[in-house]
Amino acid sequence: MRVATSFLFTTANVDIQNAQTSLYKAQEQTGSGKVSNDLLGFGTDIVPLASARAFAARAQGYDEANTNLSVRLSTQDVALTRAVDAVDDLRIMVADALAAGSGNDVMNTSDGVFSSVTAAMNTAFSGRYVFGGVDEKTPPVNVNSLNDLTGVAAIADIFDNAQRTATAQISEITTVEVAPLADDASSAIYASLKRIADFNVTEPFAGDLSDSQAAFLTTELGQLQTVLDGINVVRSANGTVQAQVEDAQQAQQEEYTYFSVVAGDIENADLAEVASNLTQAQFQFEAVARAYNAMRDTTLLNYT
Amino acid sequence: MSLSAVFGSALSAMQVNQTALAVTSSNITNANTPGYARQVVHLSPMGGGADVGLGGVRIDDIERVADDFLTASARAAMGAQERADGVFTTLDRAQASFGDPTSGTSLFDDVSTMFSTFGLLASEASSQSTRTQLLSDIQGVLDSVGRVEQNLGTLRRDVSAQIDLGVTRVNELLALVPGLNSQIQAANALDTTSGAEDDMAQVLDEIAGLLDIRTSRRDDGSYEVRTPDGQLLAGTVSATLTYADAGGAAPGQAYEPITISYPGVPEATLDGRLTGGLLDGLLELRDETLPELGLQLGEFSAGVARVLNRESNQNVSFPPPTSLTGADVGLQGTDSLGFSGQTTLSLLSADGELTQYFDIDFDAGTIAVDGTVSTTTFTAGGTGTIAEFVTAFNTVTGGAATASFANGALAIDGGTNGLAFSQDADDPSVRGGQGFSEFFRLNDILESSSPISYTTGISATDPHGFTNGETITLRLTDDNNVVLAQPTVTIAGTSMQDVLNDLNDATGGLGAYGTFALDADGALSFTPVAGREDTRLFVDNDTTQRVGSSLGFSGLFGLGNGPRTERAATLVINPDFSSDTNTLPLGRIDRADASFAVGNVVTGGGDTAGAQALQAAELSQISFEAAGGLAETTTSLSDYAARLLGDVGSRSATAEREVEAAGRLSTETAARRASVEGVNIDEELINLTKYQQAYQAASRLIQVSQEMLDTLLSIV
Repeated sequence: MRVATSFLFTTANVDIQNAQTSLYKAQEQTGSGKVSNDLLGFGTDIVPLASARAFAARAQGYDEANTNLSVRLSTQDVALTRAVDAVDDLRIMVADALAAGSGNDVMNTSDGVFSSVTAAMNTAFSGRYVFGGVDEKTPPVNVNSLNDLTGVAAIADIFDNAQRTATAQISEITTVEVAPLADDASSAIYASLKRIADFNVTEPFAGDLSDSQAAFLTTELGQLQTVLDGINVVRSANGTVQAQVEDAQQAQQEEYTYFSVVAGDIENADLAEVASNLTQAQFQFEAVARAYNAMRDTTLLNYT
Repeated sequence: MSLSAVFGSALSAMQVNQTALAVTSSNITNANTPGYARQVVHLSPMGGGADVGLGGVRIDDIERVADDFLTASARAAMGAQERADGVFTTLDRAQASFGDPTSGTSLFDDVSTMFSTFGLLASEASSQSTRTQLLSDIQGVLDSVGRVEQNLGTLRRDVSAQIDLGVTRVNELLALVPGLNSQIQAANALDTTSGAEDDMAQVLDEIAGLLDIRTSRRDDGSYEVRTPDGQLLAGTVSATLTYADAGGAAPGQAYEPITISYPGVPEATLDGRLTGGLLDGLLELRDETLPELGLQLGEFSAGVARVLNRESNQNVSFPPPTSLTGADVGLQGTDSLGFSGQTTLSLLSADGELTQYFDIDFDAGTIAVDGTVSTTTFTAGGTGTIAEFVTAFNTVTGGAATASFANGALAIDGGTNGLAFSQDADDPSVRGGQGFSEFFRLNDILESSSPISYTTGISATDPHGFTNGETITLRLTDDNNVVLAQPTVTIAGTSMQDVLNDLNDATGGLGAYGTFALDADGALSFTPVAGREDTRLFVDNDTTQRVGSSLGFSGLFGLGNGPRTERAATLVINPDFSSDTNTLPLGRIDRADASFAVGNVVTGGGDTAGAQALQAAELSQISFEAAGGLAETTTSLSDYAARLLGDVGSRSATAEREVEAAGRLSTETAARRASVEGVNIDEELINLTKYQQAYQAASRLIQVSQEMLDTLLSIV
């Protein structure tokens, strides 16, 4: 079979270009560590790659939001614990007063409990009132002192929180109530404090307890246990949400890791394979160059 | 034989070998000349027949060695390679504009980032910095989409310009053929060859790269050049191709086919006759591939808008807006209301307290005020008019919220009352697949100057709403851009059905080629008749305008590629958000919640239910119409985006593989052709020596003969 001389050189040129292209591709993959930097390089693999990256991004998004939520829930836990401790202090004080037959500590302690509970209910996180429901700019409790309770007609009047709770979606399938409403959490506490304050107006607590004072405090002691149980339930419900968020975050972090690996398997170049390709491309180029050299010398022009 | 015969014989040898040397020198000189085919000298001895009594050698002919079959194969392969290269080059540029899918900055990643930011807002809706971040993320998506759409438009214009250049070059080359044919004919008459053959080969090779051709030779050696199906392009005269470059290459723009004008032959069209060559690839890019990518992008961007707006129209900002102004949806007050299901309008104080609410039941035709059904009603089943509904609404609300409908747009003014719409959880309001607020675009996050969705909810019995006498000119072509019909339909009658009837008329419309119809959601479709599935529909001109609206027939129904592709470039973020991020609707009234009662605070800065819904919308199922290579489907925005990228990626990868395959075939056929036609320098060097020695031997013969003659003369 004949071979045209010019075609020999054309073919050699094409072979060299192809070898250089292979070298370039292998070099690029080595440098970037990626299979490709455009859709062309992935072809139909772009569909699972895009899906995996989307899953990973979604999991990461939920995780970041839940991190913010966790901090808020911790703040709420501190506030609710403070309220629980305050109610317990009130209960202990009432028991001690009955045991000692003295009403000297009743109003002081009640004042302190009022301040603690009100501070707890009006807790703000990043400038937002956490127990206000969807209204996070209005302080949920609008009275400033124990004495103010004597002037209200009903306990409901001291609350300015919204009637709708704030919610958060902690995962694709789970929505939680972020915090209890202040009135739901603390109405019973303030009701007890109001009873004490109202009684004090009629028969001030000072010195030895009278029979009516003792009877009132005995009744109140029984109710305070219920109030304490109630606020404990609210606190543990907050704890349950914290645990839910923690579990959700763990799942999301695992999901993020998993889908990042899936995406990585598609988009990251197998460096061992790339190194092998690079070596092969180098060999290919050398072989073509040698063949070109041999071809260049194989001509009668060198002998005539 | 006499001495003079020896002289004559030797002389002929010298002349012949001199000529042979000249041929060899021509071969060596042109060893690298594209299109040059080696020449071979055919010799035969003198002394027979008419040459009885003479000796010597003569040249029978100087043959240009070429194999027509191999030449044709090589040209076909060249055409395929040029076509594949042209298609791949453009597709490569198109796919590159979608960005690096691994960098976190591609179009797809921008969408993911936007939804993640909705997630952050879902836990801290009042964070101003996160709201600002959200606007930046949404703008990032729009910028990515806009950039790709712009690139596709640029590519389409470039492709059209390349076609123009290609056609110009083909004309230049075809014009050379007649002149070259004359020279070839003259040389053929003298049983010799001429450089015109090589020039012709070069010309035909270049033409074959641009459009595939068939060549044949006449008895006189001249060439005829034809299209694959036999249309004459050049011979004794040449054809002129004409391409009308539409210049702007706007989406939906129709192109005239390339015409072939050959003297004495009726004008023909080139589109559709091609099976290879760069022009064939460019036409496919211009008419199919790039428009399909544009349609896909348009459908995707419409999907982004639909997903966001569907949720935002059920959301409320804080403080709640005191007015809701919709967009021109192309409807009139006399159009049917067309809604089914239920929706609730809540009136709210600036502090989020529910002051009043109106439950609207479109099926029953009633509006309840704070749970009590009003005696003022409107036509049940959504069959009354929009105007009737507006009147009933205003009567029932008694000025607390006032609706108005003008210029195709609905607006509701709450005075000092904040407004929020919410859908019934079990029986949501719907028209054309969209809720009440969504349909009238009362609370969009993404606005646009033209419809995003074409499910109008209009039925055939509705008034057409145009002015009789207005016209719409359609163009229906086959897939070779040959115009099958170009009717101008004049609006007449009263109903939309009347317009459909005119559009479907067999002579005045496109009825001979297909049928226009409105589906249950008010979407218009054109279904071609069997065997005409490859037709293309364009809107050449549309003077129609729905009275009171800015929308015409084609814009309202998304007729042709133009509106559906340009959607990608018309989306903007609601400008209210930029000046005040508090107007972002991230809360959502929950009609079913126990707290929903007049006097209760039902929304506020801590209401993140709307943001949660927006975050979750990335996975919610929406309907996508068939667009480009992607079939009609109901899927999530995230999944559709992945399919869009997959389609672009696989088209590019397929085009790249075709380049490699065509390149290999072209190399192989070129090698075979060159093995016959090409010059081998070593072979010519041997010929050089051969003819040189023969020339030297012949000259010795003359020298010896001269000496013999001198001897003879000295004897005498």
